[in-house]
Amino acid sequence: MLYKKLAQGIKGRIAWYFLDNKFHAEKYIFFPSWDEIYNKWGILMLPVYMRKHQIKKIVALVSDEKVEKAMHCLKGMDIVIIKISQEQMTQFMSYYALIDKGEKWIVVSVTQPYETGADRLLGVQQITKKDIVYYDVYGFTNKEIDKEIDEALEKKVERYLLAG
Amino acid sequence: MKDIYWLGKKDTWIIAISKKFLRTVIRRKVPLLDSCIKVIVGERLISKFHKKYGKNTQLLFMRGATGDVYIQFMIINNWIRENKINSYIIVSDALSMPDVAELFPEVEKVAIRGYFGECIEKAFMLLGEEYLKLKVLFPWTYSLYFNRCRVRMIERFNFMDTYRWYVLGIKDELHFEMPHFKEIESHEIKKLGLIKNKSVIIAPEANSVTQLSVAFWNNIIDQLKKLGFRVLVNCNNTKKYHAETLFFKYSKGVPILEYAGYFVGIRSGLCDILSTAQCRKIIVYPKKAVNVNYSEHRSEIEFCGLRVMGLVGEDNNLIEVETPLVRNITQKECEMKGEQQYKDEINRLQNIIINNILYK
Repeated sequence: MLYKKLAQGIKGRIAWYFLDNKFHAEKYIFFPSWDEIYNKWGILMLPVYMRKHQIKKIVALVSDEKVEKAMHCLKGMDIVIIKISQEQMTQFMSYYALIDKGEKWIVVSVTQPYETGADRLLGVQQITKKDIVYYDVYGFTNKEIDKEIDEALEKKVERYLLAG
Repeated sequence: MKDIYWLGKKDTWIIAISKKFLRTVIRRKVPLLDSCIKVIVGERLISKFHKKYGKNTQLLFMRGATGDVYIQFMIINNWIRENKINSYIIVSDALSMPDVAELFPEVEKVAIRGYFGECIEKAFMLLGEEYLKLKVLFPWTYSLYFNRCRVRMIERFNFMDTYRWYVLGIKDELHFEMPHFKEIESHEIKKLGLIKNKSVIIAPEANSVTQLSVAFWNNIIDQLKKLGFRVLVNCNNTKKYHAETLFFKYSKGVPILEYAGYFVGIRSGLCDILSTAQCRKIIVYPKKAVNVNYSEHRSEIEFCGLRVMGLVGEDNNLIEVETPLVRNITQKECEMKGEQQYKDEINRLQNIIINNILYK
């Protein structure tokens, strides 16, 4: 387990080298989770995040086909969507566990590369997965952002993510 | 309690310096290699603990400042009970752990060096809690950089909630393990020169809150001395203040305070430890500022007030006061406008402190 995980991390480093050299994006967003609700809010809050931080180009790495389809709903933004295998996703996450990539990476998860413990707050004082994505994943503090989420987009994304 | 050195061996100073130099070079030049080494060292260290204490022994990794360590000791039994843990050991690189641990003598604990703490943390990040049988009790250090939990800092929670719900996930009612303080001998009282119920212990320093000026404290000290009080300051510097310094072991803190009768301090971890003392306690907190991002750090009354956290019950002897004169360490600028407001606030705070000592 130990050396397998270390090898994954090193492979993740190599993959990251080629990825960043190819795209030179300001930010990269990863969707390692299979949880539809986390993924839904991860997708819906992305345009708001890009506007707030004036990010022009982002590369999204997904391993779930549903997330890939739902990401295509985000039109009019420079988002490159790349489908990678689950194994490659694990390699990237192992690399993140070894080296802090927080400046360039957004990871829509609270369990990968490791458990942050935020899941334990679900249901306590009405905390939802949306709150966790809002505060922990994107680091927002201004609740006004809620108003900027497009309702029509929300329905579209839900349709893809919750489809059979 | 044992201090674990590198797999039981104590380094000579030459080896220690060489290791440190090599580590610094690797850390700066090849961070990935540095992380890999830390994971390997961390995993080996944890395996060693499991070999020594049994493979099913749960390791509880304790970190943080004094107050954090104290709270972790106080509430960890709740988690152990709820998760039906039969065997556990506390592993900690917190500097204050050995001193705080004296208050909880029945718990088995091992002190490790800071570097090994980093290694255990890195092993946790790559391999996970379940594989290592390791529970991290302080998950908001900056070195645990991935999606650090900010939601715990919103208005709906207080600091104790973050431990209860976020760190431990305790569903049942929280029960505190009460600390065991040692009695103070009469010769110790004599040495300190304490006057029973007429001594004031001032703790002007804190890690997470900015300080009040030396002049502010000296003004209070002078007034109290004129009123016949014996005043002692809990800090290292003997020359700054117009009072003698007093540095006590945590295990004697509460008995000393109960003998002295009065405590005044900036909100710090020491206040957590002294919270059970039956004496007049005046704790100063930063006032909540308007334009501050509180998702990183909070130390105002509504988040970490001793009463709000449940560390004291309906204790009429506890006076909690907030002031814009002190700030969260994350708040860069003071929000007071003008010199007059500053002077008024100093007078107000000094009056509160003096009046609450005089009219107990």
